[in-house]
Amino acid sequence: MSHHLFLLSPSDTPIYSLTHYTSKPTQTTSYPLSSNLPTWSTSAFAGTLTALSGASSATQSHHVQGGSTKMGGGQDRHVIQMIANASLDMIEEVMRKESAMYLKSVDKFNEWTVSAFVTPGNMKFILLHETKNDEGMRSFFHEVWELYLKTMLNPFHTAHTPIRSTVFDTRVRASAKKYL
Amino acid sequence: MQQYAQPHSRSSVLSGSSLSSAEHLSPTSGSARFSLPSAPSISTTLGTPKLALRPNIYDRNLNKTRTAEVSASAFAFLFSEVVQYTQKRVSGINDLERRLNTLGYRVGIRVLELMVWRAESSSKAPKREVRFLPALMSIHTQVWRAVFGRPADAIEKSVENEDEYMIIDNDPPIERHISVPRDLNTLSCSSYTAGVVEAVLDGLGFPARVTAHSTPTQQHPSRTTILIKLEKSVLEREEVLK
Amino acid sequence: MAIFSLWVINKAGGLVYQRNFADGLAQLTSNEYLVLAGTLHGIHAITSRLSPIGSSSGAQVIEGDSFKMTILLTATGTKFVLLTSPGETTAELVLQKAFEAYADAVMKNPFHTPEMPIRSDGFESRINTLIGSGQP
Repeated sequence: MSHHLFLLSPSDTPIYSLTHYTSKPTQTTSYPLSSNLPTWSTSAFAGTLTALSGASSATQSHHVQGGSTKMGGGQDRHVIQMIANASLDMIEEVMRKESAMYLKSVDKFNEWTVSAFVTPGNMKFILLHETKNDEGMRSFFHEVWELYLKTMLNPFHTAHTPIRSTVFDTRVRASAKKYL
Repeated sequence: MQQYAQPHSRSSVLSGSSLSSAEHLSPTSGSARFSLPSAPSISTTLGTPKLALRPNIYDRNLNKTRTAEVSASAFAFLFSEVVQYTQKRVSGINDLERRLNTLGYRVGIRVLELMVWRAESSSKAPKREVRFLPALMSIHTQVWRAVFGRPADAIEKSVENEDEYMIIDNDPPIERHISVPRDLNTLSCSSYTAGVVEAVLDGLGFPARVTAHSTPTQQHPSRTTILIKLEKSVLEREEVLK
Repeated sequence: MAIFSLWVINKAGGLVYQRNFADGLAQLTSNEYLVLAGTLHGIHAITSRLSPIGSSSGAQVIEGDSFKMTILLTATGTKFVLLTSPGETTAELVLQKAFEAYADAVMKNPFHTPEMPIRSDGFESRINTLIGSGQP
């Protein structure tokens, strides 16, 4: 089972991303749609198409970094990114009216649920997850917010540019391990 | 690394040549050709490596402590240099104001995040400001308090244009020691503050053009008006949310 | 008791500020003031070198029948000179305050060039509140 975190600037540029694997077992769900795919799905887009349909396919194993962990459908890196970016529309819709920073389960796609956290400065933290863990995610977002803020306060960091700090990376990973 | 190395190499000049000559003789330092010679001399004199003592930015507390106050004089000198530096690189008053605005903007995005964090981080469900008028109020009080230590003096709404708002400061601290010469009399150094306000509004999702204007009165010779001209989208959104 | 005039002389001996507050001394042209300031700069240097006790900050008061000249030398070599009537006792204090006003309204002003004549509204108004509004 995995979690995917993306930090997006107000102009929707990704400035940091993290994939976090937990050893907790995942329930395998099969999506019947995959069997109905037409033959042209074996073309160059096959991977994406099958992934979007939620199927587990042999072609994906090349892209998966998780090693021994069993992957569900749609675990391809580019698919994950697409789901995260697609959820932006929903997040922007919700954040116009909601004043809460933590937006719980704003979007769903196949097995993925998308939760988000919007900072006062309009940075969006997007988390793709498969299971429900409300309190953990709340604490996780809170820590990422603090770490992000400290990054911002560094005079050598230009706002809204990719975060390259290794300390930031280590801390976010530690936080993910703790709460997710 | 660079930042720490500078003062050390200077202090090694003062500490005399005995330490550095000892290093050249020792075989261990000879192999590390690219390390700065002064760094080991510091660690030998102090007993512990200095670099490790310096807290990482991620280890520091974000809450304001009493020692975090900055001297107003130090800031006045720094800001004076900022204006002089900028003035050498621009072609006119508008350009100068625009650059000061840009500098303030960089401060503003940080101020916004930090200020809200300090106010909301202890809460279970932290909130953002989504309506314009409360946001404007919070700029008038919270942002001013965070940046200048006291709230601004007034908020006004333009009578002629419904997309214009004004924040008024009777004695802006950053201009307290500045006397603008007559040939530049349209210049307002509060453009810097305008930049801070613009960044905060932008961050909260109310894009606007923010400018600063000197509006002196008999009583308050350095009275300044920060003029906020909102983008159309903000007004439309407020209409929808009503 | 009267304060006649305030001068500020930069470290090279140039007069960067001069203002009269009361009548009582001869009226001079601005050129003559410049020459006098340069002369005082030289005299001050002589007094500090002639001092028998080694290092000296130079003359502090020059007194005459009709006026008293009080000199404040700052750490950076700028001189504040106050011309008063002989019985005036507040001269040192006024000079300290003038120095303070100079540090605030002149040195922190981005539009002032160091060692050049002082043209700052902020400094003028600080001196106004300190000594008086100027020409009687």
